[in-house]
Amino acid sequence: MSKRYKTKKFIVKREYQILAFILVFIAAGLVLLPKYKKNEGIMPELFVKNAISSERYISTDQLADKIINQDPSVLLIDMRSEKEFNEFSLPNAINIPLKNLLDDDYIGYIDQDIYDVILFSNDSFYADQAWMLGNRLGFKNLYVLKGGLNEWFNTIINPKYPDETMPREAFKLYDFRKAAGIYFGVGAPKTEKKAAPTKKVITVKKKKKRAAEGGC
Amino acid sequence: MKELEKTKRISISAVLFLLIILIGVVTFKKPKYVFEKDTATTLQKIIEKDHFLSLEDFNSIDPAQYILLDVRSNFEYAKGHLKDAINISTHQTFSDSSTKLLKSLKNGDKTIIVYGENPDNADSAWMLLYQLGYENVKILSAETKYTDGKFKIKNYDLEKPSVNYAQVMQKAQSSSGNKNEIKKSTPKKVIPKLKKKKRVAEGGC
Repeated sequence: MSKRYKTKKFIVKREYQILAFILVFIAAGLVLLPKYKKNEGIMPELFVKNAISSERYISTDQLADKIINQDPSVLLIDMRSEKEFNEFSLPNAINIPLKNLLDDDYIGYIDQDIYDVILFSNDSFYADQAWMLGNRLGFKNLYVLKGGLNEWFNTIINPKYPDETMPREAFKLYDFRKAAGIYFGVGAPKTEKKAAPTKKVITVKKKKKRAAEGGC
Repeated sequence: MKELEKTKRISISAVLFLLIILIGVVTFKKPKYVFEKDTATTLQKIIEKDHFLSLEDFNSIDPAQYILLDVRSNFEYAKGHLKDAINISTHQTFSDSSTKLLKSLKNGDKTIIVYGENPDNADSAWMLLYQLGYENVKILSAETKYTDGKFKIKNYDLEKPSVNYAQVMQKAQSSSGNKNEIKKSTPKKVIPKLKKKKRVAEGGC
């Protein structure tokens, strides 16, 4: 018996064990694979792509229009503290302080695909940061109110009268903002109360009876 | 004979199995850039609010301690910029040259100070760098503008209400002649709770 034959016999006899051993060996090799950090959320390249786009911003005029028309898809979220929220906020807004953004109670408001979520704060900084986190986690439908409440007060509540040299659109916009302001409770400009119309006495001149003009 | 066929089949499947593993290993692509910080840590960092630098503080520190990073576009940078600032506009962060530069600055002893047109603008760059694992980055809370042929920079108060909103609203309402209260129909927004997807256990290799 040659040596070759012996090994052949050995392999045939223990083929299962050998195959199993190879597989186990490879499986064990997986442990030795180099460690690499798992990425939470989207990849950095995509993150940048979304972050530099200004698509996320919505202007105060657009928002006012949406609220007035009672757009059902809008969900306003106030990122400021609870105290500030209680003092003043936009109509129908929900308060989620920035620090609670990722809490289980609130994440449902942000991570959904039913509403267009509009984030806002005093200016757009907190809202922007919240948006970035949402962006990273791959949440859709997030928007930021450009300029935040400061801009809201400068445009909708207290719009600036356009210069005379400005284009007609500026005046149209001004009119829109004024009207929107009334909707949001600024109150219409004082209209003089119409006094109950006093009865004007018109003295009716009695026709003097003319002396009958005589005929000829 | 039957036994031989069985062996053949087994060895073929074994070879296939090995081949699949081999293909997997060869085609495995490690992502070039990975976020090192998770969102919870980042949120924590944001709340702490110590990543801002006011203009006064900025003027008082020694220029040798920091490196200025201008995240505006190349055009804006060419018009005017802070002294010794390096221009990497946000979308170029992953270009080869900036990657090289940023890597050399990563966790060095110099602070990277980011500025843009306004803090919002610098914020996206800061968010990106921080989440990529840069600890020594700060935002210059200032507004920059190029007007009258000069590059101007002024302080910017973050998240500062311009007016007392509640007061203004009250005043506006009381000064008006006819209070027309809007009927606020507040439809309660009910958001169906999404069932959490079961996460695949993390960790492992």
